[in-house]
Amino acid sequence: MTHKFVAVAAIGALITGCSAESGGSAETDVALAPGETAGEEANPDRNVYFGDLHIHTKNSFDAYIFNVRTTPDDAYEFGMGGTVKHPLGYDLKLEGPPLDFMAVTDHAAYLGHLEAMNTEGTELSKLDMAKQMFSTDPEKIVAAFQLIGGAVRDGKKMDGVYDPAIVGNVWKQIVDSAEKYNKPGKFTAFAGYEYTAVRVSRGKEGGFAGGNLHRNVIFRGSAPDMPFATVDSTNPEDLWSWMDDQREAGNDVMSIPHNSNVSDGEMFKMETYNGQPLTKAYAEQRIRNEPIVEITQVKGTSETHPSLSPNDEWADFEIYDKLLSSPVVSKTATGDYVRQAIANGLKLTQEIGADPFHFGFIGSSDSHVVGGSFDEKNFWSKIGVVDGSPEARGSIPPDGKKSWEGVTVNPNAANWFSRWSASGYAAVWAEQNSREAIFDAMRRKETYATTGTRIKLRFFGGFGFDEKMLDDPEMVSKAYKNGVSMGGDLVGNKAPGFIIWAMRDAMSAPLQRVQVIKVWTDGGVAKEKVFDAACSDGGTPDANFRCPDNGAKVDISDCSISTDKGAPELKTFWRDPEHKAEQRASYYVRVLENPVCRWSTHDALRAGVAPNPALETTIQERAWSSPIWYVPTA
Amino acid sequence: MKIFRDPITHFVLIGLALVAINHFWTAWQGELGRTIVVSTAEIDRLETIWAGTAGRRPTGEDRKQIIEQYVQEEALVREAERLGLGNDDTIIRRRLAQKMDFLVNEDAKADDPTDAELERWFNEHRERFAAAEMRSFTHVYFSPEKHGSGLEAAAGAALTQLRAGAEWKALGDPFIQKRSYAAVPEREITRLFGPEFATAIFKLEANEWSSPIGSAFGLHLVRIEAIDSAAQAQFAPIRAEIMGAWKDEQRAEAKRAAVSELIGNYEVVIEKKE
Repeated sequence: MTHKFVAVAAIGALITGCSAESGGSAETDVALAPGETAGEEANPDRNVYFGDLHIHTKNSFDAYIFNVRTTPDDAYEFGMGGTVKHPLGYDLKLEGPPLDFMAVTDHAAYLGHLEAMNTEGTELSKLDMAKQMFSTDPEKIVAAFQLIGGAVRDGKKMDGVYDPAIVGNVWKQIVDSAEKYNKPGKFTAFAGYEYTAVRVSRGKEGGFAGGNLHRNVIFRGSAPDMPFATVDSTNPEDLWSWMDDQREAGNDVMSIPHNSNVSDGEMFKMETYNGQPLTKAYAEQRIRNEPIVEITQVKGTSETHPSLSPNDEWADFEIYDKLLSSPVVSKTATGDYVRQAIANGLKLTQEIGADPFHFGFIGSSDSHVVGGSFDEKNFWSKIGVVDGSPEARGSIPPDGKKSWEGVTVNPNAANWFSRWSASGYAAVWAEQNSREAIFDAMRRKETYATTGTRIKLRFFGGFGFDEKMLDDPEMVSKAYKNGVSMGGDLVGNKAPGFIIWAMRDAMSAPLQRVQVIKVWTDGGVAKEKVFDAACSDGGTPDANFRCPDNGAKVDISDCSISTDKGAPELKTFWRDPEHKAEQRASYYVRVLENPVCRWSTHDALRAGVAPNPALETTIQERAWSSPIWYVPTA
Repeated sequence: MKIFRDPITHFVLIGLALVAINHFWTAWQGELGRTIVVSTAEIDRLETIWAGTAGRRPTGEDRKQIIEQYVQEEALVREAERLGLGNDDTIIRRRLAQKMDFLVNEDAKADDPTDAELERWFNEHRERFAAAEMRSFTHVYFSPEKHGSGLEAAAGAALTQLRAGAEWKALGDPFIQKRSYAAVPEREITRLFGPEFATAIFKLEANEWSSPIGSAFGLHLVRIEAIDSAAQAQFAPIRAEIMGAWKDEQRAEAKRAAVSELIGNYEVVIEKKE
């Protein structure tokens, strides 16, 4: 009955939900200007598509334990605007328009094994481990789950437990599901999975405590019979070699790292997995396989950390730095954040002749309940029965209390769930909505990340650009022709000009400011500077490159926002006032909205209690473009 | 014990306990007497689940094990019941109620209607199957950031030109999204431009330039290019969908009746607070 209902809803969505972003039909006689086609035809000026490339279903060992029973099909139904059930029984539905593209990315190691253990009559269900896992004795359950979690992390093929036939069978179902839902011109579904390596750096006593080296592996089209998982190797360099082989065999593929913020310094460290110095071959192999990084998702932001960016007033944003399932804080000094990695990449270019961190940015959800939780107004977090209620995630006081006075918040909620975020999206500029166009756009890094808002963002750089281009109706095609878009390299020996154009999400807050973040190195030391490039409400940046406060406010008593502040769009031409012709540099754009209530404030408001005093009450939703690199010829 | 100091313990405990309870009580059906009947329907169900994971149908040996497993579990569950392990446990009570609800649902299955019956029902519920009205439109955008207090004047001047036959592509400001949209329902326009704009353009006449319309982005002059009215559904092409909806409705009605009959067997006393 439930499945039937979902299917009926999805058919309804297919019939009526012709997405405007990707939609259009050949029968309608709309006068279309060149480059303005909506439909299935390629748009040389490119359209922006919003997607989620990080979704878990019941096939993931942890999601199954979180009581998730929904499938890859359910995930795609959700993405197309349908309704799915949360394990606690309530409905999940997108607030925004349907997604344009998606990938289901279940943990490949021990794929489908928990369901097999919980299915009468299977070999796995006869194991002591299975009996313990699905017993009623909490101690046994935890012990059994730790065994599986440890084996996924350490890449151990447990005798009599690990069954490649189950992995292969479930993987085929995942690939088939993507194939079934992939509708070129309307909706793109990629075959993918998560490679879930963890570098145990704090001893085994800490549960999963260690350096998170997780990656999502996304196939452009065809996929092999088996995924390469931690049981094959826990060294990501071996994954890249396998991916190189796959590409040779016709299965083009990329891997997208995520949660570098909890990698304990491992994700972007300045040596190889085995502690050797980085080489040109390493850098080339890495960037060939990992052109983009997921920098925002439910488990926090990986752009930068306040301790690394003390002069960036917006760096302390949705920071989550506790190692997975652990109270231990990740080593943030080096290797965890992309802004620093980009600077280190510039340095490496000079030292070894290649840049392993020459990557672009996306966001995604990492939902473990098949539906991404993007909206502050309606947050359901990610791990099913464990954080699916406001009380469980620490946004309202426990036991129906009406005040936070003398309340001790459950440490899991205090350390983890209350710090998590309603985020994020992968935005991609592509000629059309197809696997090939979107994958190729990701390969050239013409992507940006958002925190769950659908800000539209263009970013171009060129040596011949000037202010006058802003009013040119042909601006976009000229910018493509005479410059590079986000993700590109500007090779030359003079100061480039940049065109930045951002438009708000109609259903979120107006824009407050647009910033350029410049990253470079000086004598081997990473440097960064934040420049406000355009201000809302008629402001102009001061001598320190800061916009005046636009005075936008949030009323915490009802979460309403100022209606007369902020801009619907910000569009500007920008030059680096401190440009040095011989200095290699990287520039990316950050767009900030006016503040809105954080999800935890919405939760509290609905329950009629004050927001948790330990949490920020508001946030500024944002978008980050992939960088443009200035590469001096001299 | 060390394991209980480990934070992951707390993390998974809640989830695991619920899974375990779910599993435990899934087997809770049939008479709880001294006879364990393994019905052919139950065997079919177990085999289907097994095949879904194993990727093949069970053979003789597999089937034997599936049944043994089931019998063992059933016996344990009944012993647990005799010991009263599930009494007064909210989660288990809820699970049992859910299970019963499911069973009532199963009983509420209706026979297939004749084509004539189904078509009569469809005619009474046509509006449910109609596709939403969709509109195709072109718009010329005016940016408040660019024009400031001159925004309305700029839009008004352009409107005069458009009504005199000027080419729309040359007018207005560049728009980061599309300037022409094909066949979009109001719900989508609301999400893309905001509710004010969506409501306004669904009231416009086709083929003429509108007065300035506000959106989340600024002002727009809009020309409706085509209106695909809410399409009347025809019976034959969507017979399967209609049948599904009919069954859902029959089932819901039968279930409502069955549940209220069950409740009717009880005297319900609701005590008032002091």
